[in-house]
Amino acid sequence: MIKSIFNPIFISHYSYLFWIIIGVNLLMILIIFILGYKESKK
Amino acid sequence: MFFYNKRIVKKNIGCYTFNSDDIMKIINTLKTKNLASGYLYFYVHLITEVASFYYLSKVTNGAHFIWLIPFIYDALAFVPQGIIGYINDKIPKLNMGLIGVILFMLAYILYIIKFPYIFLVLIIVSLANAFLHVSGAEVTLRSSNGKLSHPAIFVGGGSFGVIAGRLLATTSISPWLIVFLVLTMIPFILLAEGYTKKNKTCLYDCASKKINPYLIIMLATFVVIIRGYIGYGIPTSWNKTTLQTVFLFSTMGLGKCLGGILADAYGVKRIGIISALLAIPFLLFGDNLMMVSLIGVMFFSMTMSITLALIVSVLKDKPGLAFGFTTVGLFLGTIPIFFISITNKILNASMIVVASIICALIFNIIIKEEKVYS
Repeated sequence: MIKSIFNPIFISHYSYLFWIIIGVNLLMILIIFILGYKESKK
Repeated sequence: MFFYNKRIVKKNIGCYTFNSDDIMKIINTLKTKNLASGYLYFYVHLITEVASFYYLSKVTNGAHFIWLIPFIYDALAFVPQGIIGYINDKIPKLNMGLIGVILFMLAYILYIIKFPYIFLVLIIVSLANAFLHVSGAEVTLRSSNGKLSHPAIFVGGGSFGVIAGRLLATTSISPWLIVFLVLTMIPFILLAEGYTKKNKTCLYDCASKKINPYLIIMLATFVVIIRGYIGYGIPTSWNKTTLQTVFLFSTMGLGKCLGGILADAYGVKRIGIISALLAIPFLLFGDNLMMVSLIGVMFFSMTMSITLALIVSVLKDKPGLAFGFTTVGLFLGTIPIFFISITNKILNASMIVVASIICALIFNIIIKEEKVYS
């Protein structure tokens, strides 16, 4: 019904890059949501 | 000729009577002052996606790390737009469009000289894409005087560019042609910058006053997330040839443009709810019927500009940040497709129905009542 298509082999050689991208993205999303909250109060 | 002599030409569409006044209304929407920014950035957006997808298709062709490349592209082209947009909101004199062109030039020169670190080039391509999107959002939203047509026409150009870029990558054309196309964006960006009259504050006002403004942003972003995910689950067994793929992407682009144009003519709430609900039967029963499916895809794509207008209605003087919320939503919506695949058709169809009804309900709650058409 729901099949996992995630293959860790794809990122095994580039795991550092994958996790950097994930980390940076989470940080950016957090900043965007905080900025949105602040600006919506104005 | 019947456009001008006001003779009423009636044609029944469901329970609603479509007449020549409707056509005049749509034509008048397209004549809106400053719509030029939408048309100029339609081209810029198209070329942006051509340059992005030409490169993506070239580097993913035969690469063993094929999974990671689209993921990095999605992450770095979509998410930073909120941050770049906020910086542009604070420093409007920064021309993000020209920065995007310079980044594209740099990326393509590295690609042409066969620079060994393809991930670095990929990151530059993604950021170039992000800068150009922010530029388009800032110009079209600020110059639109509260109309949705401008950003809708700008957004619609992307779908045509995605398929054009992918097709060009299958040919043996020189990448220098893409460099040339990237350079042709410069006069369009400068013209849009100089020709359009930009307002300090966006004049959108379609969000309900009864709901907390931040909740409106969250709910509109949620709509983008679920529509972004469902977009990949649309059943299109009919899509087997290149020409059919061209039709699919062109219909997406047309739907995005039409969403804004029709919302200006008939009201944001009406078009938002109708497009979300009408898409359901066409998407479900169009799996093997191209025309039926394309009608569904068109309705499905029409909500893009509506969610953007809702967020800008709250963040009136921060259109760049508002645009960033929609792109974050698209990224969050596409994340699951990298990890899971739904193989059961009934489950997939159920998800489309439930998601579309949720979208329509959210639109009904967060879009304010309007008297646009009687």
